[in-house]
Amino acid sequence: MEGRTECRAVGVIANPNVNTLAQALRGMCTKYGALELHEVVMRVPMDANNQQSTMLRLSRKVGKADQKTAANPFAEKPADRWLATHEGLPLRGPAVSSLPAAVREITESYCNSADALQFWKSLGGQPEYGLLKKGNEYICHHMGHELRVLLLQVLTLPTPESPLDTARNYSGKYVLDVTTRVAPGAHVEGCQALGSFGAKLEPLASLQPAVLNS
Amino acid sequence: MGVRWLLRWRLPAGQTPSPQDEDVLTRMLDAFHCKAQRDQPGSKAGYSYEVKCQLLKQETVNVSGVKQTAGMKDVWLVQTSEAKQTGYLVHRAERMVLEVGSEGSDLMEKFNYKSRGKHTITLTGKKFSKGDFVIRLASATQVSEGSTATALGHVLEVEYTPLLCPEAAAQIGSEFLEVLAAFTPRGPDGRSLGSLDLMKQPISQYSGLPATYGFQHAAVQYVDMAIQLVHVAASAQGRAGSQQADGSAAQGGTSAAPTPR
Repeated sequence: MEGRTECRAVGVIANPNVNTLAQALRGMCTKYGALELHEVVMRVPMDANNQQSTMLRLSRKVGKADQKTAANPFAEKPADRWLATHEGLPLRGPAVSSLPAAVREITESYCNSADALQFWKSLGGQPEYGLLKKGNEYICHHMGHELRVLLLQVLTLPTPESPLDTARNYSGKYVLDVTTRVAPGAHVEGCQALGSFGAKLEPLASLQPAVLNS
Repeated sequence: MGVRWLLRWRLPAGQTPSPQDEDVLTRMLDAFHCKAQRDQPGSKAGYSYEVKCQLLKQETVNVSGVKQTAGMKDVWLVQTSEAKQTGYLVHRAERMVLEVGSEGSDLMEKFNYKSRGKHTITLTGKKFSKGDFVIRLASATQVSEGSTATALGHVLEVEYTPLLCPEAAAQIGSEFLEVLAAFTPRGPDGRSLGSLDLMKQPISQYSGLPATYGFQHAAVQYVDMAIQLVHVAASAQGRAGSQQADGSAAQGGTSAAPTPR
């Protein structure tokens, strides 16, 4: 998805609706697939006293993608490919408070290294928490916008660097995460597209602006 | 891409880098029967490649408006025209390298990492080829505060394209460099105009680098070369300053150091 302004809305899905919602999304999308995401969120100190900080989100796809590299036993194990994302604070003000989605500036870059987490830690980043997100990813088109729809279970890791098999989903619920990227200044149209898309999913899902960073 | 070695063109004591050094080295490569490669489309006139090394420091401004260092450590960002979609973050203190996308510098700006002008070293130059070897002749400049560029000297980069294993390429590389050194230009009086100092490859000290040579390895070498060039230039400037002070004192004129009584 292009653009560095992101419109995002999320919703918690009651378990009885999950399968029906998944079928509905499959009918509305142009592309879909299973998704397993490992995320680690780090705190980046912004002053020498560690009183001000911002967040860095590192995410990578795990699961079946790793199995493809086992085809050639002589090939070197590829370096981890993480996506490093900085999410700005959501736009605030009377003009955006009525929008159906949160708007924030996104800056991201991929990172390739044998140990990208260790690199950011060595610079001074402090791991805060780790998540494993398992579910499906759907790419939908609505009102001229490309929407990335994730229907996931969010599992927490005991520590940010714990092995993935220690992840646990304590609530058992699913999360619907819908985002679209727009050009700067075009966030109103992006939010309206998300709101209209969310209305189509009622009553299976109720989307709200994603006002928290996590 | 193949294994690369970096050589610094070391001038005799007392001499400072000048644009004429590039002519000297170009003549050396011509005598060595190296073929100049055509400029790549879209490159700056006369230059086929460029490498930029920037030292990024995290800075904040306190309530009084004074800049101060923040909590994250310094890191070098290396960008090369041969890999325009990528950048390389080199953390020298911990001996680690991270490959990032072209938006990597934007991401670092979000964490208040700034590039101080005096810590931006740029290598720009031309490419030559001789058989399986590619030789890049680059002039190194340091951008100072106020956007003035200081010449740091010249660098030769020799690349052996068929091999990606540094250990396998070591022997043929050293043989080539030995032959190249024999073509070091001399002045009319027969004295050497300079020498090519091979920079030791520090890549073995870095953890997590791929086994095959790539731009991550090259980035480490570029950073070490940039640091070496800056130190040499600073040392030469320091010697020139002290010599100037000594000369002024000997003439009995005004000088920074008081004349002992």
